[in-house]
Amino acid sequence: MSTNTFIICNSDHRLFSELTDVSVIKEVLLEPKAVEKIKEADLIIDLSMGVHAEKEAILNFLCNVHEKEVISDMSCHWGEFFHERFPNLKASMSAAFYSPKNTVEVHGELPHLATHFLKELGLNTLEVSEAGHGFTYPRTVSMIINEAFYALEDKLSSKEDMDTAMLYGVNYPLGLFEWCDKIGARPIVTLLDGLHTVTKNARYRPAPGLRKKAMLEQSF
Amino acid sequence: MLTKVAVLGAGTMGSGIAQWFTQCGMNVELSDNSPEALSIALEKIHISWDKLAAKGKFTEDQVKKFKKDLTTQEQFSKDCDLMIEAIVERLDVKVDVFQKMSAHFDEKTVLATNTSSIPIDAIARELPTTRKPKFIGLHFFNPAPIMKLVEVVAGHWSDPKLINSLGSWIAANGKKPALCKDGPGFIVNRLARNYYGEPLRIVNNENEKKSLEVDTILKEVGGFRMGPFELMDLIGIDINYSVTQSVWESFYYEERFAPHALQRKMVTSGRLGKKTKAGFYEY
Repeated sequence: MSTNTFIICNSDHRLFSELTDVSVIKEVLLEPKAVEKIKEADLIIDLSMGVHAEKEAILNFLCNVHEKEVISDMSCHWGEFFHERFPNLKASMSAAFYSPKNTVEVHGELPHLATHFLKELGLNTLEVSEAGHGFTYPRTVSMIINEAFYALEDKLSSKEDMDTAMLYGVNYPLGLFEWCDKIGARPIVTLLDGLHTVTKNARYRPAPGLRKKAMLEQSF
Repeated sequence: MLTKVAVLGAGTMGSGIAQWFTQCGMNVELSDNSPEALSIALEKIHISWDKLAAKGKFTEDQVKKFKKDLTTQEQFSKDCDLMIEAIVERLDVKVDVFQKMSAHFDEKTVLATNTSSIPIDAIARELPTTRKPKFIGLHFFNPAPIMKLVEVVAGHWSDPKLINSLGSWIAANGKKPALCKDGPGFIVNRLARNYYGEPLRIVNNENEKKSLEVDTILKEVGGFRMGPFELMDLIGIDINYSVTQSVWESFYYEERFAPHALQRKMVTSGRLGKKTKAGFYEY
């Protein structure tokens, strides 16, 4: 990894454990001593998680300190809003959600350094026309996983039988509970809460069981 | 546990179910109120077995046995172990059929419906008390001889031991049973609703380019076999819309299942997918 790229990541992000480079801040504590390093970097890759306000605060800090290119993970966030709010946000991506095809949605111009960074982590990129809210794959898979948790609360069936049904009835690559374990409940709940806040549509309310799982992940 | 199976309805699902049970070594009786449909179904099944034998999937002796074991009947034998119904999705018709079947078959016969949308209990409630524990849902997926999943649906009165033993029998014969309770859409048609609903909201307006992008993302990032728009075109936009409406109504208009205006627009204009050569894509 080039020393000119500076990566900010916290432990909620699935790539956290794979980042070993010295230029990585692995917990998002943007103390004054980080400012010089950030100023010197050619590229900032923001892999912070957290709710909308936390993301906005981090991007506000980065875009004020760093005048060049910033790339941010918008898997759980309102990409359209952040692109308009921060003009030097060069590109956004959906790397926080496990992909069965190891592919990440990317919106905007992804600099070579960023492509190289993702390649080194075994991730391919797919260019998409809009950042939307949470990108297409995270948003769709979150909704079907959320329904699986509602069905579990209704005692419709067991987790195992529901996973079997989706694997063999509609050929999904993973059962929905297994898929949720791969992604983590926290990113899913963050995304659904964000969609609920923006749209005020009850369809995006996370199932209580899914929220409980997310809270337990946080405690752990 | 099973030796003789009756299948009512010689359409795509009924004939596929009859073919699979025969391949499992059962004596199968297939019936339909249309003699013509029945004879066409039998011919198609025979052709399918001949093709499978040519591919080496079955031996000629096996196919010979299958052809002997699968018969068409005007009236089923009374001593069948299981009767599966795969006829039109209308509650009144199904209730009428099951009341007659309940009177016709021996007490031991398990009666099953292959419905994908009608509550099991809505049929069971109209049956005699002694038959109710032996009434269940067996929801196969198309094409039935190939698709692994069978949803084994327990109604309010279904005997839990029967549900478990049928699940085990299905697993022992190479399919994947998923046991569930009676609820709108059972498992698959409920959990898969937002594989269509959310992409419809992402695209929002009629936009072939954007639909294609969403299909590509969900295949190349999500690992799904087909994108939601090409899948709706294949299933039939009208059929998919009707299932969505049915589940939505059953959940008292819960927003998670709400249909999208674009679905209605496509249906109203007669663009129903591949079968009309126009849907979210042109064919």
